[in-house]
Amino acid sequence: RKCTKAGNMADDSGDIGPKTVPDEELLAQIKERESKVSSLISSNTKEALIASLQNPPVATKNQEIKDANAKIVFKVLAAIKEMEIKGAVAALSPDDSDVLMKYVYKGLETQPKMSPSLLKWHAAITAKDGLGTITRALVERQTV
Amino acid sequence: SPHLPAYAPASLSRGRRLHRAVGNTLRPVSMANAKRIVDCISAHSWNADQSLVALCPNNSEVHIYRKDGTNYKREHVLTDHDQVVTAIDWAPKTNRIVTCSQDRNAYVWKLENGQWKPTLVILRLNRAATDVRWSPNEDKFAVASGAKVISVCYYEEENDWWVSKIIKKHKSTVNAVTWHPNNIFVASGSSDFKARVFSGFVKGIDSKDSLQGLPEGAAKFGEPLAEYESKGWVHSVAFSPDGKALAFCGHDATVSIVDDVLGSGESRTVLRLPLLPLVNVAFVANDALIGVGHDNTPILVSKKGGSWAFVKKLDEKGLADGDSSGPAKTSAVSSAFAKFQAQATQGSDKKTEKLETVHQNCITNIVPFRASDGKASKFSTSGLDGIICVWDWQTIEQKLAGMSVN
Repeated sequence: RKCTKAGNMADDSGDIGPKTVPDEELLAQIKERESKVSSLISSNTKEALIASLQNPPVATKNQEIKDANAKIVFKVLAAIKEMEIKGAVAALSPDDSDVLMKYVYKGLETQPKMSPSLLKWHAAITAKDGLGTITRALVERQTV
Repeated sequence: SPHLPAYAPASLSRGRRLHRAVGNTLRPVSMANAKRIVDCISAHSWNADQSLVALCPNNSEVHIYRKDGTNYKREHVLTDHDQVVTAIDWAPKTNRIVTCSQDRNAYVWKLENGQWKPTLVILRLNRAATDVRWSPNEDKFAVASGAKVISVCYYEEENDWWVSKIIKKHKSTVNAVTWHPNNIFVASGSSDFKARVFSGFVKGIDSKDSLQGLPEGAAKFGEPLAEYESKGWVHSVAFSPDGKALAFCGHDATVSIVDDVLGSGESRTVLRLPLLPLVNVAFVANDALIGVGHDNTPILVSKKGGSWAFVKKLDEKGLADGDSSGPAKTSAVSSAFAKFQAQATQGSDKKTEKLETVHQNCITNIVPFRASDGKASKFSTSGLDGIICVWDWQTIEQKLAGMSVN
């Protein structure tokens, strides 16, 4: 941010925290993501996982949009066998690990049937990227 | 008390001294000198030659201890505050101490005839003060507060009192405040997820010449000059010794460093740490940043490799050497003692095992021992466990250089 510009200050409407993105944009992104993931999921699950974790719809308060995206991610997680979890996590960038950890917590919250495998995902991500991923999943106000 | 703490490593009780670095672990004896002085320390600051330390034992008092080798002897107890003292800063050149507290006040203490005399500063706050720092020239100090403002205070000769000027613009508690080496810029970290840089230019105290080369807004007090977002509360901010970089740490376990903060400020590195959040950061050199926090160990973030990166935790495999002199207690008394001490330091009496790190609980403060160029050869840390530890940064740096060659 340039030192002479203080422009952003005027925009603050009193709400603390990051800005939101319009819902239509997010819905369009989700549709795109869904088609991309569907095409990859049978051939290359690692790529499908990475694709599903890109640009999660965090910048909105609309729960339906978030659930729609979560559905895609859970689909991929279910398609990856236990033995492959470690390999799939190893292929993730640090950004993606953070997003995946957030979905792991969301899954533990909303998908009770997936709990055993989600706990394995949790352990794998923590082993690779440390406690910071858990902290960020809990602290960041814009949730998945 | 000066006896050997019960948590000292067993090897000392068998009369063996800790040995020098072995293999890949950082284990030299002289790297860290730790002492548990009180139950819990909320703030500490050293005088110019690091012979005296002022600390708050998590109550309304300020204790001044004299450090003599590994012993700390209490010399003064200052009791003017009504609530917990949240921050202490000892001005090295003028030898004045400024303290601020949750009682919404700040005092400036001057040593007169061997006694510390307080001067109350009217901050005009209606919430607790959270942090206080002297400016580099020690003619002003800034107080961060829960009232969502920063109070910049300067001394008015005519009335013989400290006047405060308020910087607003924050949407939540200001957690930390720090000065730029140019004595004009003030940076703040706040619970509204932002780190900001303001102008702290005070007419009459700062000269017009000092504004040379600075951006236009710098002449107006309280003018916001930069703003950076974080995804977690910003706990601490720090400028590098040459003033070119600004670092801040957030509760989302990240640390951000903005290079060229006076210029375009466009180059910002956000480091996602694989650790628990940091609570305080300080530069020990222009390319080395030390962070402390909930992992109970200082961590090093360095630019030596070309770009900023997290290097390692500095307290590995237990550097604990505490007192390397004096006999250790090996009786049943010491295990009972250890149990109660564990309850005090770690909040639980079930685990009587000592943590491997020197600090047994969150480290909340880091104070670099700065030379005139702003670089530090040592730094001290204090935390919720009541331990003050002095770290020999020079030795640590040499060991790290040696290890990377290997």
